[in-house]
Amino acid sequence: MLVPITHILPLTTIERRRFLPIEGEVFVRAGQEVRADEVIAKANLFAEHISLDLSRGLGVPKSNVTSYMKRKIGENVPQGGIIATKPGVVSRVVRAPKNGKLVAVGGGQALLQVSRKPYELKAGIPGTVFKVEADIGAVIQCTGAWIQGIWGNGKIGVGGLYVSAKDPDDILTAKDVDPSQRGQIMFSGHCADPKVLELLVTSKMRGLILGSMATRVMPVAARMPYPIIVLDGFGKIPINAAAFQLLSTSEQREITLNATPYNRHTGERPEAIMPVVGDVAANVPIELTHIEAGKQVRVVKSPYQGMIGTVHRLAGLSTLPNGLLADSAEIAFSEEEKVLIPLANLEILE
Amino acid sequence: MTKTKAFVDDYEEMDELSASQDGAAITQETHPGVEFRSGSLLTVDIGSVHTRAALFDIVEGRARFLAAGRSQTTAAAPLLDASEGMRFAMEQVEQISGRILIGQDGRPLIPTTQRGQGVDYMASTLSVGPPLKTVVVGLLDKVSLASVTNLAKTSYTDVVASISLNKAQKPEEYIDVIQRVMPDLIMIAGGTDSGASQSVLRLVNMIGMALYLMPKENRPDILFAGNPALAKQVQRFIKPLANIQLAPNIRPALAVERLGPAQSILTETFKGIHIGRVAGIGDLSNWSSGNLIPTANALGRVTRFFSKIIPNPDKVGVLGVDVGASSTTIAGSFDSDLRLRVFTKYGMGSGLKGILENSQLEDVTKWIPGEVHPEYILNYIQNKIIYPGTVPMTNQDMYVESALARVVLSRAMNEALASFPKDANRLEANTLPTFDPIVVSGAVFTNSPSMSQSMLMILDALQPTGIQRILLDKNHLTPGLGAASSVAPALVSQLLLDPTVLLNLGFVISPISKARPGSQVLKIRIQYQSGYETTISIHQGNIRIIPIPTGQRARVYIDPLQRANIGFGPGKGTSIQIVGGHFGLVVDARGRPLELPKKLDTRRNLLLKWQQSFNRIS
Repeated sequence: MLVPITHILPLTTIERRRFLPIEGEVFVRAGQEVRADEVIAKANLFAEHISLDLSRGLGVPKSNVTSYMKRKIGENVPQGGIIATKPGVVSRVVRAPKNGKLVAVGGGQALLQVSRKPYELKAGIPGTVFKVEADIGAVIQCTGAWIQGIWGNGKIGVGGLYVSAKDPDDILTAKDVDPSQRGQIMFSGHCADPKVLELLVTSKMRGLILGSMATRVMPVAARMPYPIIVLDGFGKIPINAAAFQLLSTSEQREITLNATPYNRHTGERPEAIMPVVGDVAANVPIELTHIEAGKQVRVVKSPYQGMIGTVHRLAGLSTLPNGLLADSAEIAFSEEEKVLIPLANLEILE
Repeated sequence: MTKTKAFVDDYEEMDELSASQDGAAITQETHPGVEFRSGSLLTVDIGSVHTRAALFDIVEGRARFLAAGRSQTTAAAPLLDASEGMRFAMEQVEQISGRILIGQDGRPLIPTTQRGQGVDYMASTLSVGPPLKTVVVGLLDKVSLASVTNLAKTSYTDVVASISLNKAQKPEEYIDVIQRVMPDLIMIAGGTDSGASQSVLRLVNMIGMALYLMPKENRPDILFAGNPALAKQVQRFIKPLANIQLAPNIRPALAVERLGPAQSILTETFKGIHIGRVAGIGDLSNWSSGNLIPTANALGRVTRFFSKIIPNPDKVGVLGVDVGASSTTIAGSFDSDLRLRVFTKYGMGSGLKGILENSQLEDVTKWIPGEVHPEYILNYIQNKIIYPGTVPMTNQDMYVESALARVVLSRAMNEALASFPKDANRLEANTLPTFDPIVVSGAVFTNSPSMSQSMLMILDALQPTGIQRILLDKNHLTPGLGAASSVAPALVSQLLLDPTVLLNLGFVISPISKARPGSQVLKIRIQYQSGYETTISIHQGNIRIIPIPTGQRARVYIDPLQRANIGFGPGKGTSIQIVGGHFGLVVDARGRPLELPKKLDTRRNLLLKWQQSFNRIS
């Protein structure tokens, strides 16, 4: 049976396709090194349009408007630039009210596309541009440690790693906010206090990795200016052992957070990457595998949420303690502790 | 007793009825050439979490459900191809049935070979993927815009913008809106038959301009369901810019809304968009010879099918409900008039976002008989949104899951009520019309630890009135059968009446009464097939289970007291002949609407008491 995979890997090579939703301008070239927060492409995604009544402005019938045009479709027009004019003793002129591009003329009217702030596509991961797709984006490769999360607030940030979590049961409180760590990305356990997130803004932290978060904190976390990713879930859940081990031993390493929201359809997930410098050989991660005895898994549902174990055996259709029948596996958390868990509540850990 | 009503409820009788109606189609046929069509059917349903396959065939002259398989849906990353999930599910069916279904080329074998491999028919359904981002366009808010919005609600859509002349915005502002939301679909209505034309064309012009300004690969599909006199003109204008489908006018007259014909066009549009978007769906459509429809529409077909094949002298409707991970579907069929609503905001996975946004936490906690902290419920919901396929492992989580199922279904049902005909058979205003049967689908009901929990969830959420039977789609077979109903109607009609396909949970009698709690509201006399007879008193506020062994017949005489209404008017009784199901007869005299005590301990004790009423049986 196929089971989803979560990656927590000390060394791997990952590749990201970073493409614009519509055609635009790409600023990078193959072989170029990029930072995660570097803008690699722009597009005029959300342009505004202004309709100009040429017929009325010129005082001519709709059908005659085109003969008075001074601009062609597709032409950029500066603010105040003449779009159409009717010469005469008293000449009549229609000017562009803003900088824009003439995109259509018809029915006695002109449509001016006015640029707003363009959509900026960031690299998302630090690495090397492997390939450029003209006008669309680029494929970026990176080698390093990789940790996938389950929730992100949509921001991207880079900094040195500051390990605040002392153990997997760590709870983030105001006391943990250390102003001397400004500019760093903080790794902590569970957050149940939205005020602490605000404190991190004033202490100029560049990002936050949490093991878990209370759902009521989520609205505040969503609007924080720095990236926040949650690794294991909502509610008080201990940090999973693999992520704790990797992050707690990586103090001061440069870390990139791409807190993109989890999208089940595209597979995009929030992630933390700690790149390695120089030519280091690393395997490409497995994206798909079947569950079988010996596989390492993470439980994604209470009461064992966040715990990592090994598949001892596939148990088939089994009755759970609450009476529910589910296709299950016996998971060994230790030599002594083996628990029956539905396959639906497991992720393979790679 | 003032009235005697004979319910035709005997499955065997119904089987004979459907066989005699369509017998020629389900017996073995010899077709020109070498084809030998026995009437076997393979169905595939691609849901947002699971892909399911099922096999049906004629065994000893009767249509039977033979095997089912299930896999994780693989339409999303990392595979981004639904084929793998389909293949896994079909392979499971092969293993269980011992019948080869897939050829060496990876395609299903259709029709059945001389060696008995493959199947004769294949039908498929899908609800996978995010809902279609839809912009609805109409002339007036309360007329064509309302109707086109209703049309959108009959499929897996998310209405992201509404445009009408009422809104008095500049055309370029609408262009900006369309560009910003990047819809998958724009649905346009407006103008009655031979009605408004210029204003409709102005709207179409504006849509055309928006399309022209969008990159070709980002342009949405267009569905026009307005003034038919303009259809060809609209098509000529839009076709060079984007895919366009023409549908019959959904508002042919000011006071008439007709969604049915346009629904089938919307179904085709939905299918076309998914074929282009999800790898593997195109193959599935080909294998199914075009019999690929949205899962919600398949449920609608099943309810309409029931309303045709079950004699229904009292013109009560047929209800189908399906609670999935990302959506909930409500289908009411009233004498073949189908009213379908798909709620992409309510579901047991990603659909729980709608519950977070539209409900109070108390709506959930009131159904929990144990001690669960409200914050735990919030976290449970959020985790379930991220991991929609997970299942509860503890009693506490089961309570929360069951409570959420009640809220999801009741909210969807309450919102769907407005779409039902005004003359639907209601015992009182604002109550659920009387339906028979009620077909229930959805993993939260079919996979619960006991049938008693399933039944109680259904009764609490729907709060039915009058007399009806509850059928549970234990193996999630109704979507496939709905899709197959157009190609193998005789087979489907037999299967829908087969208790191995739809489990008869039992007959439910739900009186409406203003009597004081504890006072007697019904006297029920039961004559069993064996000749044994018993009389039972039902008191207001109670729920009572009266076992009738599965398959055994009984005649039930119901005598309402204190002007209690069971569907024939206050105080008017009836007698019904029923065939025993899982619970036999359930009398739910808890009142409508069901009101729970405000005091915590009293409420919890009551919830446990109701649960225990059922536990004696299951």
